[in-house]
Amino acid sequence: MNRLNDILIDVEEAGYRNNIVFRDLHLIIPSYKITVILGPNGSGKTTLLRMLFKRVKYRGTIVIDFKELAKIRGSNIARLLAYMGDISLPEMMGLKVFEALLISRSGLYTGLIEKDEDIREAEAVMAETGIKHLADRRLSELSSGELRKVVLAMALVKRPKYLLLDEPDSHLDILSRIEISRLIKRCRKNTTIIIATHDPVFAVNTADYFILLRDGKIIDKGTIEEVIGRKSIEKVFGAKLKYVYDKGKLIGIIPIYG
Amino acid sequence: MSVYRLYRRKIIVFTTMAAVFSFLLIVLSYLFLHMGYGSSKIIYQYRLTRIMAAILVGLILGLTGALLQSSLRNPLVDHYILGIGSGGVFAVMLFYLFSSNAYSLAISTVIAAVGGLVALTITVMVAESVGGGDIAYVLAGIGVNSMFSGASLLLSYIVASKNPYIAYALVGSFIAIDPDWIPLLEVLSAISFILYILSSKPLNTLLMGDEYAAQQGYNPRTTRLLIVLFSGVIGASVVACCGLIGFIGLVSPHIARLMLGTSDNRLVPVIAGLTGAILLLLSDNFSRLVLAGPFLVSVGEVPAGAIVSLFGAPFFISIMIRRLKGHGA
Ligand SMILES: Nc1ncnc2c1ncn2[C@@H]1O[C@H](COP(=O)(O)OP(=O)(O)OP(=O)(O)O)[C@@H](O)[C@H]1O
Ligand SMILES: [Mg+2]
Repeated sequence: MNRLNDILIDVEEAGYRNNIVFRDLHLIIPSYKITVILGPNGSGKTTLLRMLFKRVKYRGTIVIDFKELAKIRGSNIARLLAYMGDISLPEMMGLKVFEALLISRSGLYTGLIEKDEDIREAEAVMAETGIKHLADRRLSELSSGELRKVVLAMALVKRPKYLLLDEPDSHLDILSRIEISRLIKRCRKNTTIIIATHDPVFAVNTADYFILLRDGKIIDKGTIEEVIGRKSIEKVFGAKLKYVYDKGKLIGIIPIYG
Repeated sequence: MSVYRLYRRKIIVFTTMAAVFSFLLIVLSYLFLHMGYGSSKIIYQYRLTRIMAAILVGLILGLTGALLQSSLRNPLVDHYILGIGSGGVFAVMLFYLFSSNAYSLAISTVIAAVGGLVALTITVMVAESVGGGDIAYVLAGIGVNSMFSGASLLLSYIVASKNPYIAYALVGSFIAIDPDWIPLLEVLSAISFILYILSSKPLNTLLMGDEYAAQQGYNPRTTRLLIVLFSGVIGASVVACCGLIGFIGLVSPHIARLMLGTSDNRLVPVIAGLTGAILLLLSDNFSRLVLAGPFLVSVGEVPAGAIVSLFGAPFFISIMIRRLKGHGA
């Protein structure tokens, strides 16, 4: 596999005006793999993802798509990556699901009106994510789980090289989590995927590579066997965990409350 | 599924409609320049000027109102609510106060724009200092609006000796319209059309939040600032021509969204512009033909701005109620 598409992060300081979140952050995020950033609330997961599309100020270098991030223009960032976070529409300014999908592709075509290709991709993504029946519904009239799927579809419809997913598993029921996890795994072939989550079960069932984050520090990184072997998941959450195996395969992690 | 292609067709149809409409405007202005011979020429010119002015001003106010609402993500604002219009009126009055009787239309337009800019800056600063919610903008705007309207009212008594029509600036009317305004208004509407075309794609992404706009390659803060600035200033500069006409910019985008069934900014501003033009033309004609006409006990001409407020203000209140109820407040 071509490693030229890895993301290199070599940052002395990064964060907000009055709040430096990362100091001396050095990371390689492997291309064409699913990387999970796992950590408790406030550890800096969202900040790390937002850094990758210039939403967080940093001192240092970030290389993405073999280019220095600081030198990539906004319109090219739009083509290169998709970020899935929360979206909120103002009241009385609603959009329908398929309109939102077409708008998500607006960075990919020139001119004001979408091309046939954009419509085809929007239809394809709706089928892939199982939201065809929601196409004509307004975003403001969806349940939070339905909205989550739509937002994922809005990221996928760009067919990005890099897919940044901020808590794609939140608000979802058990089956939907499994479905989203499968869906994400299917995109791995030609996409570099980075997921931020604080759910270790979702993480171990979805990702190939783990970055464990706490208070802006990298506690550990590696494959699942490596980080479990070093008891790093316990360390990062500060909780006791029990691992559940089925036929030698890790299928679940249970926190011990006691 | 052809539904989505239909949607695209809708965009094409509506933008074509806008183009046809603009073409008609050009034809109308041609007529305006050449029609009417002999004794009726003056009357023709006056009426056509008035019709043209109402259409163009309505177009500009509706269009910029839609841009203001989308960029601020706030369905409760227009150039009147935000106090931009009053800022413009105040600046124009000041200008009349200190200048001689001879003044140029273009200069007074620029002056109104500057006044609008000042008012807009104050409103944005006040509203952002208290969190920048949509109600914050309304309240800050009302404050700024009252301040400048009060000051303008005061000045109007002094300026009235120089320009007897100046009192109309506070309500908005086409009674004292000068044909020289038409080319100026045409330039302003051309500018707002360009602004609409440039901003419709970024506005669509801004509608879904700053983070979303950023990953689509737009800097949300600068984009919003530029669009608010330009649409606010264009809305304010119209004030120099016909005074302060409120609510057109507020109501038209809502009607447009309702008719279209979407908030897509490739459609809403154009249709809001057309709606604004129709509404303002109707209001002005209502004032001219019905109230001053033979049907009722003649009350003489009422400024179009007053008639607009008559239906605009209740509409604003109903949106406000809907907005606050929806929020659970
Ligand atoms: N806009 C901001 N300005 C200043 N500080 C911020 C801002 N956003 C986040 N922070 C701070 O940066 C730190 C990291 O926040 P971040 O949102 O990256 O955490 P997270 O890992 O995504 O948490 P969660 O799991 O709760 O989403 C936190 O201490 C947070 O308080
Ligand atoms: Mg987060």
